[in-house]
Amino acid sequence: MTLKYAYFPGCVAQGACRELYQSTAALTQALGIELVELKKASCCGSGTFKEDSQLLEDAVNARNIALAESLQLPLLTHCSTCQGVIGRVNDRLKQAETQNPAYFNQVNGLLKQEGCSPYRGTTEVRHLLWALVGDFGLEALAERVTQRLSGLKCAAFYGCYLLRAQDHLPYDDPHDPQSMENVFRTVGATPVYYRGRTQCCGWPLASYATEQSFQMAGGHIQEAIAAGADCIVTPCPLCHLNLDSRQPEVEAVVGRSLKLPILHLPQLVALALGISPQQLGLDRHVVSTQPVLRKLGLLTPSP
Amino acid sequence: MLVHFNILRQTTETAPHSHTFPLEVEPSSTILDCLNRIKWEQDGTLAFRKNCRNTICGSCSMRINGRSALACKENVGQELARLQSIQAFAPESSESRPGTQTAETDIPTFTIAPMGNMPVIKDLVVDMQPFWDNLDAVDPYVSTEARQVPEREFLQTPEERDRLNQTGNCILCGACYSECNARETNPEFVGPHALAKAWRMVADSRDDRTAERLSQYNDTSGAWGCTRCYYCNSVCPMEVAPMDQIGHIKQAILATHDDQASRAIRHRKVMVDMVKTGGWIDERQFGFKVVGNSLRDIRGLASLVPLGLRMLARGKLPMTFEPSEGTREVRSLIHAVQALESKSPASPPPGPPSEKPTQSDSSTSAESSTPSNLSWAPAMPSEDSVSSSSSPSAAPVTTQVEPSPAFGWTAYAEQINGRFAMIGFVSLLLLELFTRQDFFTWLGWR
Repeated sequence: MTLKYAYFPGCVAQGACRELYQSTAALTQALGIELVELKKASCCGSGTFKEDSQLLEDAVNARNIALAESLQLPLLTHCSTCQGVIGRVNDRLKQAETQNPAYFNQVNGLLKQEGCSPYRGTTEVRHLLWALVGDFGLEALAERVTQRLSGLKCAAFYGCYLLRAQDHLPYDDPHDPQSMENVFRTVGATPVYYRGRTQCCGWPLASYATEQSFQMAGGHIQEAIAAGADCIVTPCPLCHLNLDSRQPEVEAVVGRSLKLPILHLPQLVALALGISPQQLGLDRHVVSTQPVLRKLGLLTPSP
Repeated sequence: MLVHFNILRQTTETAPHSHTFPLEVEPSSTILDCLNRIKWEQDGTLAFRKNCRNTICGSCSMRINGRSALACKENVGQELARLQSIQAFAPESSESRPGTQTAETDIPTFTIAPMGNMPVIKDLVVDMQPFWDNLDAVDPYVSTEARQVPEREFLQTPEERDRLNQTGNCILCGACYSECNARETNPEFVGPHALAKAWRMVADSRDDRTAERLSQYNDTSGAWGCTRCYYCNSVCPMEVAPMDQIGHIKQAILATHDDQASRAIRHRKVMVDMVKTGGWIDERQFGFKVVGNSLRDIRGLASLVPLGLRMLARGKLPMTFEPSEGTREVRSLIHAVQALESKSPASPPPGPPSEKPTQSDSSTSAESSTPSNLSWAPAMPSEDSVSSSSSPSAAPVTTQVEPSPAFGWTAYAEQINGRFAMIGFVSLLLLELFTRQDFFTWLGWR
C-alpha cells in the first residue's frame, strides 16, 4: 500500500534550507511515498508561541492539524521542532477532549469563528524519521539501497523537540534514542555515538545570546569530531542552521577550525538510493560537503 | 538476578574511573537499596547522598543509565525494562558506545554517575553550592514587605493556593540543574530549579514584588537564558515542569513589554507578527527585524553581514518569499486569540488547573515602571495587533501613530537618515564583495 501524508514543509525548508525541501521531495518520490503539501498551513511558532500564550500555540497548530485531518491523512514534517510543537499540541488537545472539554471547545470555537476546519483529534503527527523507521520500515528501506554508504561515519544530532517535547515517543527512549543510528546502519553507514547527540544545538538563543549559543554548537561539533565522525546528520533544519550556516562563527567562538559537514536526514538516505548530490542540494551548504562525497566516491570532477 | 553496577568514581584529586560491582538483586529493589548494599557489603568507601528513601528529601539524585533521576524512586525492574526496550530497538548498538547497557555476557549493566553541571566532591556526591546560590539569587521567599499591611494573616482562596501546587512540589533534588543545557555554556543562568521557584513567587497572591521580580528575571541570567531543551521537564521526578514555569515568566514579561525592550522579546513579537503577515516566517526579514531592529541597531545589523554574505554566496539566502495560502485565515485566528486574551485572563490549560494567577489584589506597590498589579493579558494592545489591521475578520485594533515627517534635526529625520546611510553602507560592502575591488578602484580613482 502506498504511503501518503499531508506534508507540512515548515518555514526553514522553504527559506534558508531549501535543500531540505528538495531532498525530502527526492527521497519520498524515490520511495514511492506520496506527499500532499499543505499549502494553507502556517508556521508552528517553533516553541515561541507558547511563550506568548498557550492558547495561541494550540489554536494555530490545531488549525494546521485540522488541515491534515480534512485530507484524512497523517501530518508529515521533516523538522524536529515542528514535530515537537505540533505533536505536543495534538497530544494535549486529544487529552483535553476528554479531560478539559471546555478548553477543547474554546479552541474549536475559535477555529469555527474564523472559518477554519474543526480540530477532531483523528490524526497523527509523524516526523520523516518516524515515517522511515515505523511506516516504511528499515527492512524495506534496505531493499531500496543501491549505493551503500560504507565507511561513512555519521554522528546523529536529533534536536530537543523530537525527543522531549512529547510525553511518549513511538520508538525511541528520549535519553538514549536509536532511530537515527538504525537508519545509518540501514544505508550502510557507521553510527558514531557522542554525548551531544541528544542535546540542544543552541539555535533558540542564537539571535540574542549568540556566544552561548555558538559555544553549545561548538561543543557538540568538537565531540562528534573527537568520536571520529565524518559528518553530523540531523532531522532538524533549525539545528542545521546553527551547526552548518553558522559554523564559521562557531569556529571563531571555540577558537579552532571545525569544517564538519552537516547533512539533513533525507540527504543521507537519498544518497544511498543513488540520487545525485546536486539534486539533493549538497552543494548549497555553508560547510562544504565535498569530504563526505569524496569518501563515498561520489565527487564528480568539475568540468 | 545478577546486575553489574558500573559506577563512575572519583575524588577532587583523582580522575574519574569506572568501577563495576556485581550484585544479586530483586526487580523491586530501588537503585538506592542496591547502592546501600554495595556500600555495606562490598566497598564502604563508596560515597553517595541519601536520606528519606521516599522521594521526599531529594538527596539521592544522580545519573542513572544516562539521565538524572532519584535513586530511591527508580527500581531495578523499571531500569531493566527501559534498557531492554532500547536494546530491542538497537540490537547492534553496543559498538563504540559510552556506557553500554548490556555487557557481552548478557548480564545487565547499570551505569551510575554523578550529576552534571556541578563539581564532584567524591564519587556520586557533588558540590551543590552553586545550585543553592542560584536559588537564592531569585529571592525565593514571599516578600516580607507585605507584612506591614494591617491584616495579621495572609489569606488565600483555595484557587489561589492551587496555583502554587505544581511548583510547590519541587524537592530541590538538582536533577533539572544537572541536565540543563543552558547552564553548560552560560554560568550566569540561574537554572530551571531557581526559575520554577521564581514563578512560584510571582504566582503567589501574597507576594507584592511582582513587578520587581519580573524585571529581575527579564534577562539571560533569568528566563531568557533558557534554551528550551526540555531536559528539565523530562527528568524532573516531581513533574514540576520547570521549562513550563519559565514559559509562564516569559508570558508575563511579554505581556508588559513592547518589542523595543530587548532582542529576546523582539524575537517573540516579530515571530507572531510575521506569521500574521505571511503565514510562514520570511527569513530575509527576520534577522533584519530582530537583530537589526529594523535598522535601529546598526551594530546588530552589521553582525549579520558576514552571515548574509555567506548565505548569499552558497545560494542559501532565499530570494523570494511565498506567503502561505492560508495567511488570511491564520491572521484572523491570531487576532481572535489576542482579542480574547486581552478581554479575559488566559484560558485554562488541559489537565491540572492553570498556573496563571488572576489579578492579585494584595499589591500595594506603585513605584515600579512596570505594572505591579499584573494582569495576564496585555493591558495595552500588543505591537502584533497593529500591523495587520486589514484582515477582514480582524478584532478591533488600535492604530499606531507613526512619527510625522518634519524638517530640521528631528528624530524622524535622523532615523531616516540613519537608515539610508546603512543601506548605502551595506550596498558598498556587497559591491566590493562581488566586484572583488574596493570602492575607490571601482570608481576608477586609483
